[in-house]
Amino acid sequence: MKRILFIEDDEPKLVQVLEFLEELSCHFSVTVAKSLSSACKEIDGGTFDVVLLDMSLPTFDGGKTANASGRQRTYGGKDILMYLWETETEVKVYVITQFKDFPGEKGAIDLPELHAQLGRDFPTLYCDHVYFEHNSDSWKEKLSRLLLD
Amino acid sequence: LLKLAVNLRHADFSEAIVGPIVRRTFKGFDARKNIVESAYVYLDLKNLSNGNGGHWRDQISAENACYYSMHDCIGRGEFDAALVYAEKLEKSTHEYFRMQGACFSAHILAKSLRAEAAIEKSVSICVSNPESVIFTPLVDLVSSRGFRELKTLASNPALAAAFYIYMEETGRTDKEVSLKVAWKRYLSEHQVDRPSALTFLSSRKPSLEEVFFLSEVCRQETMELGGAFSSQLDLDRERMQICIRLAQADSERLDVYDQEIVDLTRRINIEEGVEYLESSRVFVDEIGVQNWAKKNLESQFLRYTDYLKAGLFSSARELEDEMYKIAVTSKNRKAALANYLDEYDVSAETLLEDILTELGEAFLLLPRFGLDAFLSSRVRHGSFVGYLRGPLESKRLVTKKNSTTGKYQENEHILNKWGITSLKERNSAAAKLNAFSESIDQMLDESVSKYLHVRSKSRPEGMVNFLAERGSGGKVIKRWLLMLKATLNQNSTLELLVSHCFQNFFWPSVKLSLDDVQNFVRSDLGSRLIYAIDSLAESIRPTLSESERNSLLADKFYAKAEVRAAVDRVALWFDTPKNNTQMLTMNLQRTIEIGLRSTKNARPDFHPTVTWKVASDANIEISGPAIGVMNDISFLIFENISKHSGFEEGVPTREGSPKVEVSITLQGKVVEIFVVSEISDRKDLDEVKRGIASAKNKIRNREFDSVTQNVKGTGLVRLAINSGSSEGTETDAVKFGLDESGYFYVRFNIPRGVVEAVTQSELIQ
Repeated sequence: MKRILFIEDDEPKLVQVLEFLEELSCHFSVTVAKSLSSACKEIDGGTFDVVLLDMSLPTFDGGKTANASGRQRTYGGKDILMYLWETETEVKVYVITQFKDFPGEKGAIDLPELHAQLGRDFPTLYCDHVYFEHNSDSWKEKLSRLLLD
Repeated sequence: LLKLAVNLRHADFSEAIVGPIVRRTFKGFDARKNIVESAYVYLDLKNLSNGNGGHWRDQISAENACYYSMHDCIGRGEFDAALVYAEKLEKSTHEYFRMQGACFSAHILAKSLRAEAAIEKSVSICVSNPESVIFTPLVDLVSSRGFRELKTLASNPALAAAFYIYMEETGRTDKEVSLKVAWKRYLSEHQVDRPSALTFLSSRKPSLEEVFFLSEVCRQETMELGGAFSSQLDLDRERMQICIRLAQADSERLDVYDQEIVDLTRRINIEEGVEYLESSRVFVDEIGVQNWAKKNLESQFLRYTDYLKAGLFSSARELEDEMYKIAVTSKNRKAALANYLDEYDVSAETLLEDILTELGEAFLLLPRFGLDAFLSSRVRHGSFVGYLRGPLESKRLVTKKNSTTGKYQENEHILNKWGITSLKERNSAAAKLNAFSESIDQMLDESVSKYLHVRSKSRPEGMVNFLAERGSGGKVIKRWLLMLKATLNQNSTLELLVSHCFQNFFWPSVKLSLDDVQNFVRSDLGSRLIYAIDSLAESIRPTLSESERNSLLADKFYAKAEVRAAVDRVALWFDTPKNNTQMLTMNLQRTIEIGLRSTKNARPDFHPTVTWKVASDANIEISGPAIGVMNDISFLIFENISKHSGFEEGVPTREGSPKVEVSITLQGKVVEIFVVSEISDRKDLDEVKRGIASAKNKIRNREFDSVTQNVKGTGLVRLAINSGSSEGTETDAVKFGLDESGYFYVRFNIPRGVVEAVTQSELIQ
């Protein structure tokens, strides 16, 4: 059984990926975390083989009021990678994102640049990325290749 | 700079001046040594000028001799020996030498690769003298290390403190996660999950490092990833507990902690209030309905109880006996019982049926107190549209209508952001953006004007009603009647009857339709809003270049995420009210601040500068549902300012925000609220005057019922309703208009219902 931690706050993307993982193999046990805070709780409390990671994440799971989910972190995914590094958690991390570029200090960073940066900063954790699109299935092919390898 | 440093070498503050200069002029502490040395020579000048002959170094003070010996050792790379001299200096009676000894100890430890000890020493220096961080090797040591490399310090508060000081000193965020992990590990080493639970706080006086850890490191931003917290409110509550513990443990800074406790109390109060009000906006004023029932139904009710006393009806016992008989003798027990109850002749109970029917109608539709009145003031009037339009407004995807032309303003911000420059494409995209704004407004207006109402003859599409009207015919009333009959006895009161019906019949029955409203908001309306965003993006995307497409996709993604979050929040408004919120209590100013927050949530471009003048004896405590009433009033005032002050017309700017002054005073025995707000130069004052005259006219003509059904242009009239004008004959409980300076003012007294709630809570105390 492959234990997957899926860190994602966008409900439609979450549903699509979960459905696909269910189709892909019955040997996946998937745990979902929808914020930085709940992802850290899961990392502290469980053991995982793979982390599927979204880049932009809120601090807390959605709450009843406008401010309940705390800050939205554009690079929340990087914080999770750093958390995994600092806590010496051994796991394969795949970033799954629907953006082609991200805001950076010196202008936008595109996906290949981010891929290279994450590979440099977290060589033992970060493995690869998947570009997710609602209107295309190409992400499924790459994700299945990464997870079934 | 160097000359300046040398000239100031004798001054008490030389250490603080020399450091920054050295950092500008030299690199490393060896170069800095020359300047510092000259300072000590100056200090010992008195000794040297005594002129006893011999080598000057033989005549200097013991500390200076120790200092030179330390440097000699450093020069020879004998760090252990140098450390001994540095530690000697730390014991000096002279503050200069003590500080030098401590700083050099930290540097020598770092040079001899004892990073953890160097960090511990550096933190110790910094917590007693925060400005000294530049004289320690802390920043250099931390910049190349994370928690993982320094984990042997996990049980020491110095580690989290080191990351914190590094971030403060450099302004960098690269150690943010290291800080959070260090903080978390320190707590788990002490077997707690929150700092306020650290046991040493109650058993001994904490060290300087521990106080620093609690007061500076344990802030909300650091504690975000703590497993014990799941919202911003949780973090604020924990910070409050920490400050309370610190106020006891570190009494020297009591003033600082007290001030933070005051600020946190305010924030927590507001957040709890917002949570309370946003957890459900559905409400029926039971006391108001009871008072109405006393006036309108009491004679019928007394007649009914008289008949009961006279034994004119079959008793509840007889009814039960018959049902028991059926249950024992019938084969299909359930069907036989249902059949018996459906066929049961209630004509003798017409009196009770009339009371029940009228009470049910009052629950739903009684002006000011019934469910529809609260749907009107808390949902339909501004909030619903504001909350759902807000995310699109803040992303600048929708524009507002121009008040003169009635057409949507061109969305130049988005056209420029997406880089649409060619005239043809710009016109086409502008038309699509305007159509988008219009379609969003149509969807929201349709929901508000058709569906978010209690169903009635005038609102046949209203979604809120009793189950009785949704397919069960009149039988539900009959069932209620039979249940009520079994409950009432000769000693029952009308108040008891009202309460019983509310809790056992009306709320459970109306909840089913409220669940439908929640589904409608989440599934139907939510999906249509998301679809509209997707359609807009798809229709414009092909005309954009690759990089601009990404900008559009990012806008689409964030707008959809925020709309979904807003839809989920708004759906919660249709939960039935929670009983435990009766316990919430806060002062009057706070309830008005919550209304201000609600307005800002609903209208993202509203950023007023508010000043408060609050007389302490007028700042009464408000409890439970009365908080909701005050919030409604506050929302109406601030929403009115937001809509009509003219500051949000045209291109919104933060600078152009209205100045608002809120005064709360005690006038005799009455609490009066007086709000004055600025009107923008861009606003047509005649238009404002016309609006004021129209509102005054409606109040004078007592057009209160029609206002409940309308959505727009009714704020001041609603304020009059909420302030009690609709109850009596008085029409000037709310005074408003323009003052001589062209400022808008509104003056009113705290409504009776709120004051009664206050008096009741005082009586309970």
